[in-house]
Amino acid sequence: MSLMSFVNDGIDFIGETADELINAATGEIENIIGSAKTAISNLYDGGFVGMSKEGFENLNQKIETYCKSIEEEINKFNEEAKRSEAYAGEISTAVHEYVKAIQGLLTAYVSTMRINQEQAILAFNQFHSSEQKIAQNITQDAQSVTKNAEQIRTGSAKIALE
Amino acid sequence: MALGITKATFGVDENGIQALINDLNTKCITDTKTKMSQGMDGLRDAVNASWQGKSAENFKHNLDSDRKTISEGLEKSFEILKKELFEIANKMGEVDESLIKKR
Repeated sequence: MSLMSFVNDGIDFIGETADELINAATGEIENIIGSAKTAISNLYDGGFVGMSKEGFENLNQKIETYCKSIEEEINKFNEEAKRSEAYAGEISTAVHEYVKAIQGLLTAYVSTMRINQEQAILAFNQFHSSEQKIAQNITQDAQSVTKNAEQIRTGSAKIALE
Repeated sequence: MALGITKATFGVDENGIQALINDLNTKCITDTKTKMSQGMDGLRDAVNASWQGKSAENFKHNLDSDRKTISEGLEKSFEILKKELFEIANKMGEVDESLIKKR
C-alpha cells in the first residue's frame, strides 16, 4: 500500500467515524431540544385576575425587553460557531449543528413568550372593555335609582302638601 | 511526485478542544443562563409591583418553570456536544498515532 493511500484510508476512517458520531449526537440533541420546546408553557394559564391596566403595560414592556436580551444572546452564538471553524471540519460541523439546535430552542422560547403576550393583551382588552361596560351599567342603574328616589320624594312632598 | 492529502481537514489537540468547549460553555450556556436569571428578576419585580393573588403566583411559577426547562435543555445538550467533540478528537488522535510508527 502506498503512503498516500495509507494516509487517505486513515482520513476516510476518521471522516466516517466522525459522521456517525455527529449524526448520533445531533439526534440526541434534537430529542432534548424537542422535549424542552414542547414543555414551554402558556405563561397566562392561570389568567390575569387582579392585574391593573398600568401594571399590565409595564409587564408587557419588561417582557419585550427580556425577549430582546435573549435574542442578543442568540446572535452571539453565531460568533462562537464561526470561531470553531479554526478547528477540523468535523469539529466545526458538530459545533455548528449544536449552535443551530440551541438557537432553535431559545427562538422557540422567545416566540412563545411573545405569542402568549399578544394573546393576553387581546384578552385583557376584552376583559377591560367588559369591565367598563359593567361600570356603565352600574352608573345607569344608580341614575335610575336616583330618579325613582326623586319621584318618591316629590310624591311624599305632595302628600305632605295635601 | 509530491504527496497530496486531499481530505486533510483535521488537526486538533486535546487542549485545543478543551479550550473550545470552555469557551462555548461560557458564551452559550453560562452567559445565557445568567441573562435569563437577571431578566427573570425584572419580570418578577414587575409582577410583584402591580399584581397580587393566585393568578400572579401562577404566572411567576410558569416563568420560572420555563426558565428551568430551557436551562436544563441547554445543559443536557451541551454535555452531549462535549462528549461528541472529545470522541471525534480521540479518533483523530488514534489515526494520527498509527500513521507513522517509530522504528
